[in-house]
Amino acid sequence: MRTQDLHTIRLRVGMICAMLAATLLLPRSVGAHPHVFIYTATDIVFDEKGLAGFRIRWLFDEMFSSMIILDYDQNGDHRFDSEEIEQVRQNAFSHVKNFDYFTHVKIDGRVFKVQYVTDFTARIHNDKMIYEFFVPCHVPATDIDKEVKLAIYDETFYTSVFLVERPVAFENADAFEVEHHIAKNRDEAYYFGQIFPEEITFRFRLRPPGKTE
Amino acid sequence: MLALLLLLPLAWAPPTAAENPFLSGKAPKQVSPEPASQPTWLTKIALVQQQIKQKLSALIRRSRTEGQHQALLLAMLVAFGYGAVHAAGPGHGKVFAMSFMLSRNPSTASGLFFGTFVAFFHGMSGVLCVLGLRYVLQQSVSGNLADISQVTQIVSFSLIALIGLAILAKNARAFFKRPRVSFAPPKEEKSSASRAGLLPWALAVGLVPCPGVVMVMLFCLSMEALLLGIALSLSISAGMAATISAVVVAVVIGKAGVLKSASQRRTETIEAVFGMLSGTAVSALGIAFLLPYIGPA
Repeated sequence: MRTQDLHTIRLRVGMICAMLAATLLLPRSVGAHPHVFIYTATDIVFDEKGLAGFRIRWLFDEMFSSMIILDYDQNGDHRFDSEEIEQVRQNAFSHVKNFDYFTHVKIDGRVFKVQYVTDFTARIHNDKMIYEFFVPCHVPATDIDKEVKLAIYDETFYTSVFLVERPVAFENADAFEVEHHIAKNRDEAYYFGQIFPEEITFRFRLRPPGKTE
Repeated sequence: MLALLLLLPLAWAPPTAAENPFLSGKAPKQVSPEPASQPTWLTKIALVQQQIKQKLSALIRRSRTEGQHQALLLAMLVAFGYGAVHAAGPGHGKVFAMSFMLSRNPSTASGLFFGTFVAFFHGMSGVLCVLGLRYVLQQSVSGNLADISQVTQIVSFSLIALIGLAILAKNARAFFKRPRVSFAPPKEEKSSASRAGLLPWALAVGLVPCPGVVMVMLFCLSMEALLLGIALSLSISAGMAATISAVVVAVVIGKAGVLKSASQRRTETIEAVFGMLSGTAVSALGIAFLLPYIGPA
């Protein structure tokens, strides 16, 4: 083989390898970052005035669950008592406040920042951990539709959040007309613009007197 | 090779805190920038990862409770696959490793050696973290992992920044010396002795504990299967090594292939320029990752 041919082959192999390396290096080529996985479901809770808030449940993957259970199920009975729940809340939940509890809300297009949550509890189910907490979000109902958008995701993508098969239920909503749908929000991607969040959009208004469902 | 160097700035997006939001007390140090692409496959890959993890935990449980050798072997294979897929994503030192190797004149074997040990140190750092906290200090792993990760990240990024500055200084000095002096590094850099010299740099890059390995270790500890945890951690590290080494070796072959086609004089100039660019990239990356930890809260 001529020297020139060898040079050409080496050059081509070199370029192919360089492009392959570049492809593997680009952050958008493959995403393997999440270390924690959550399946989430939400109860949208109403009171006599309108929207009261969201009761959110998170089911964790078995490995992250075992990490927390190992550290906080101190009596080893495979359930969290009230003291253990408080330890879990302080050491393995409260920090999520810095990430808005992964709960992103908009009310008629305006951002509603989740400042605090209530009624936190943790339990173990089939070796997996479940968190449940309530996000207060009061929106009075009127004769005109109010639109609320809710998306649950970790902007850093350390945690990957999936919606369960039927992720939404409405509680105490008999006095209101409610409709909802779930779709990807293509206007607000996160994690270097690579992921569109799944967003629950619901509209509600006062049910006219005498009108039944 | 020029294309690869131009892509370098794109390859590392602004650093985000690789910290567990459940265990870290710090607010995110960086938010993602404005959207630029059309995804859905990334979510699918996350789902695949979750399924791999679920499969791995089921296999671990089976091999532990039922003593099935087949389950154990399958768990090792799945762990390898998990490590390979996991390291393909952002993080895990690929860009540092690539930039560092670009600044030198290594053989393919050296590239393989370096990539393997970056992964090995990254995985074993996670194992030592768990063992040290659990058995030596008898502390909660989940409660201390965030702090340990932060300390090791500060040390690692500081070392990387210093390495980068040293590479930049060395190659800049060589570049601006009189033309009669050869810029090319000594040929003996390709000897096996130089491979041992790569170990401290591999340690600097791979120092931060791998959260994936930590979780597998803790899962095995929860079933009193310490040796199984260590074996699976090695398997995950081997998977990461395959991916990181593939990148590093591709860079080494790419660089060698491009330089072979250049004249001797041009080769010397290109190598010095590569060295300076690599040094700049490594130090800039190290500083960029370090700044959120030392800047104002």
